[in-house]
Amino acid sequence: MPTPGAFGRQLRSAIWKASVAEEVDAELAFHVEMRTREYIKRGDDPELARAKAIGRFGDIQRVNDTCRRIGEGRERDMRRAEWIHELVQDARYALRQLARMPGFTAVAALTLAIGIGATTAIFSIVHAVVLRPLPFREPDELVRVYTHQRGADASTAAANFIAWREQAKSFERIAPVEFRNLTLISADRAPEQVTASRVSADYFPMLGVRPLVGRFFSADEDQAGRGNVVVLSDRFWRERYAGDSAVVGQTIRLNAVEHVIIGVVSSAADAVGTDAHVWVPIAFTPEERADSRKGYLDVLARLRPGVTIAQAQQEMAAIGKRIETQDEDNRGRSVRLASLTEVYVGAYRSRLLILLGAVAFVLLIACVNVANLLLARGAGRGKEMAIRAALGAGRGRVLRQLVTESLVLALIGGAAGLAFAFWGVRALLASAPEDVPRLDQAGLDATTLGFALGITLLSSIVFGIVPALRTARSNLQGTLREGGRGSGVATRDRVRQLLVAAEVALSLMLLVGAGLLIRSAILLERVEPGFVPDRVFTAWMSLPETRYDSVESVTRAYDRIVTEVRSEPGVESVAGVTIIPIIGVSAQASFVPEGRADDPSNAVSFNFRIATPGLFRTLRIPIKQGRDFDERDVAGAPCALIINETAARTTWPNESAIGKVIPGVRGPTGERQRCSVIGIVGDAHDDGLREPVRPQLYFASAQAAAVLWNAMQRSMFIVARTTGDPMTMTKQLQAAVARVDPTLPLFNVRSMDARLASSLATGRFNTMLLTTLGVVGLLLAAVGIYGVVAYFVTQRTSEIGLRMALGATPGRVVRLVVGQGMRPVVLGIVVGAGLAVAASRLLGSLVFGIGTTDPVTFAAVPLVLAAVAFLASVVPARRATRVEPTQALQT
Amino acid sequence: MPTAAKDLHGTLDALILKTLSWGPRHGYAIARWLEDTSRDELVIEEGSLYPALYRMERKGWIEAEWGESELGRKAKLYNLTPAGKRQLRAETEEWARFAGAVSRILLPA
Repeated sequence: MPTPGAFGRQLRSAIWKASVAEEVDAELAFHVEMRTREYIKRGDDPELARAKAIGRFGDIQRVNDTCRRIGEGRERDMRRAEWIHELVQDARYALRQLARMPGFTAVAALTLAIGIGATTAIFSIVHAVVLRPLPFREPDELVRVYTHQRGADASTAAANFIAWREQAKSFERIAPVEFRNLTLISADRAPEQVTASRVSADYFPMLGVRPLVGRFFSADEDQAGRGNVVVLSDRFWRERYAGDSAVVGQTIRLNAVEHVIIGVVSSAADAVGTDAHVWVPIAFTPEERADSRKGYLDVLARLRPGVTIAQAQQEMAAIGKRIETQDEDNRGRSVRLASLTEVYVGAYRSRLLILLGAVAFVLLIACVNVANLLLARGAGRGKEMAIRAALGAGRGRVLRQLVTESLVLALIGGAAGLAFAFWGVRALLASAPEDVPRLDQAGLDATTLGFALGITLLSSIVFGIVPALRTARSNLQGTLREGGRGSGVATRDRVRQLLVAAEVALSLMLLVGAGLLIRSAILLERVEPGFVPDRVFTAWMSLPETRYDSVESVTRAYDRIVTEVRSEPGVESVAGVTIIPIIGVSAQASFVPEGRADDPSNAVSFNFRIATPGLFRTLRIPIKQGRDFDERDVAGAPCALIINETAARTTWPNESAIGKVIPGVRGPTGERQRCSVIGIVGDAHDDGLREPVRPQLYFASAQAAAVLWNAMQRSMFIVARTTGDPMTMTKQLQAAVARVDPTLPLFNVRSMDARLASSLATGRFNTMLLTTLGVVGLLLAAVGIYGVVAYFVTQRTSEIGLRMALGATPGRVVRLVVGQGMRPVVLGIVVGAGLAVAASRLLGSLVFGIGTTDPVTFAAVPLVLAAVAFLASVVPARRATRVEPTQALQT
Repeated sequence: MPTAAKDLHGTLDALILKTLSWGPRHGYAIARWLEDTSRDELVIEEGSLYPALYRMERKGWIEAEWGESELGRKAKLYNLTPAGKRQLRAETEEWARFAGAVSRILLPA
């Protein structure tokens, strides 16, 4: 307690020092007084003297204000300088402290580095894929406009697009894209397939992109017959022309027509993900303009400023309704709008945000661990703190010192974490599924570094604040008197136990998430794809319309190709089919089976394919009833259909589907024909193994309608079962195709094994990441539990010694210590399980074959966690039993 | 006619620093010393003097503490810091150059 005199002095100096205003007043008053004396000495009477003295200041109040302002500015400067000085001092001191305990520092920094590194790595991916705006002008104004029919978004017919463009007022611009494969003939190369996007002249201005070289299409070039110009993608330009700006004005042959190169565009202009090599004007022909039936356009639009998506949706719904009532072909169609950003990254958002949440848990566990370490260390620093307090450091000053130590520790951990993140991002990119948009742009950019700094500072607060408060408080409780052992051991223990409970709960939630995905993956592995994928070569090809203009010519070409391929050594069997299973592509057609009223509501929607004989043998899709296509199923013969088991079961339940008839199916020349089911085959998955199989329908290639062939761009996959590694056959099979037509390239060559694996890649990637995070979380939690129990043992050494001196067996001591360690674990498991029930719901669509409260997972994870926690506490507990009673009692 | 010392840029600062180079003084003493030494050719305006003192204190050229004045009263005494001494040297050289240049023009030999 300070004496009244000292107290008064402190008070006065505090007030005196604080007020610049009083100082200025006093100083100026002194000056006036001295000047007044001077004038009196010279003979003025006192009042005049004083007036003259004041008069010399001019406006004395202004002088006073100016001085006060400057003086206060100086005080601020000094406080800031002092603050920085103290910060530097604290940081130096903190570094010395950390250097004195290299073991503690290494463990704490490494723990933080794992948390911060993992979080930063995942964030950089979330940022690249989901958070970053699309690379277009005002990307929020861009929308996709879909034709909506039978509950699904579909492509749009040209006539509909033109009607939309004429009638809609909500859009600044609206533009179509059509994906096409063109054959590129160069003088010095084999013919090759290039992917082309047909777009209107409005397309590039709508996105707001600029040409890298040259220009884009004019409205004049977007007219039928005049569209023989082409814009190259920058990728194609660099590969083929080495990025030479002089390409503008040169010509290339696309589908046997000369096209003039007018410009180059960045691949960023690829807003619908067609990955186009070249861009050509869409230049609708009069037939296309009139066609309202066949949908093949992807439509994009830019909203007028101020128009919301909802308003545009309302307008387009009305326009769609009008078109539907006016046009027979548009029955059952409506219009749907979606934000382009949503379409582009929406599918990945929830998945990546779940990962970010999971990784944040790991960071939290790391913080809790470091907090525990700091608490243990703080207990050992009671004496140091008490000495500092005795030497005049206030509680705030001590607190600041401790917070600075946390900050320095966090910065060390953060720096190491960045190194982890750098490698982490590379590892993630190497193992990530290939079709995630923009993933290749993930890296440690400015935003990511800012994020890393942010979470570093945040974690220094999270892990540092509680230990700092506790340690700083201990110095006010007369620690010196207790021989530096520190007080409040009991409360500190409780805090540490709560922290352990928290990290157990967090890692339980992580592990439940990982467990659910692992269980899903195991169940998914058991799903039969419906075909046998090993040793199957697949490649896609398309016949140009200019030379293959009839169903007959198309069928004959594929027959000859299949025959040529079959004659190659190493080929067991071969067939052609428009779409192969598992690649997530489908084409739908609806038919009303015979015996039902001819009404759209009775139609069955099938995923249809056109196939040559031998497909089922080649893919080993079992024929359950009836037969495969053969030489009988030609043009003019009775129309034959093959359906899958799902189609048979759902369309003709409780009876055999063989011989059943679908009437009114268009044939090769457009005539209506009655088709009957001649075979039923097994279900082969179209959309990956997670999705249920839809009804499927196969047409014999010679009997399929021209409209169907045209809708598929007269294309087929060539599927060949080989005796050896299919991927070594590419050249050989390309040569076989060339014997039929040397201008036809093979495209998209892959083994069926690879296609199946890539359909599972995304799920595997998620499972792998969440499992890694779960294991890291589990290890960190185990370290935390170990730390708490070990600390308990050192705190109670004398108590344990006493108990053993009094005859307690080692077994009882172990039980006591382990019991102490497991109490917060049990609490954490109970709380964590409750939270996991709620949190696992977020995994919803990622879970397959089980519910999100899968009892197996919810039983196994707590057991694993409890077992690990048990091990983590048994090790230090056994050490406790080796305490020599006498030694323990002496300390 | 007496000149106001503030009219020449930076001159007042230099004069104050010079005054303090003889030892600590309070504001009034600085003014009086300058007036006496210049034989009242220079009028030191209080309205400029005190802001100048505060500014230089903020810049760290001078420091102040409260002490006893001649009359036994509390007064704020200013003292030159090492930075202030350096500043004084620099300003003196600057002034010599400036005065030399002006003299060469106005008073050609």
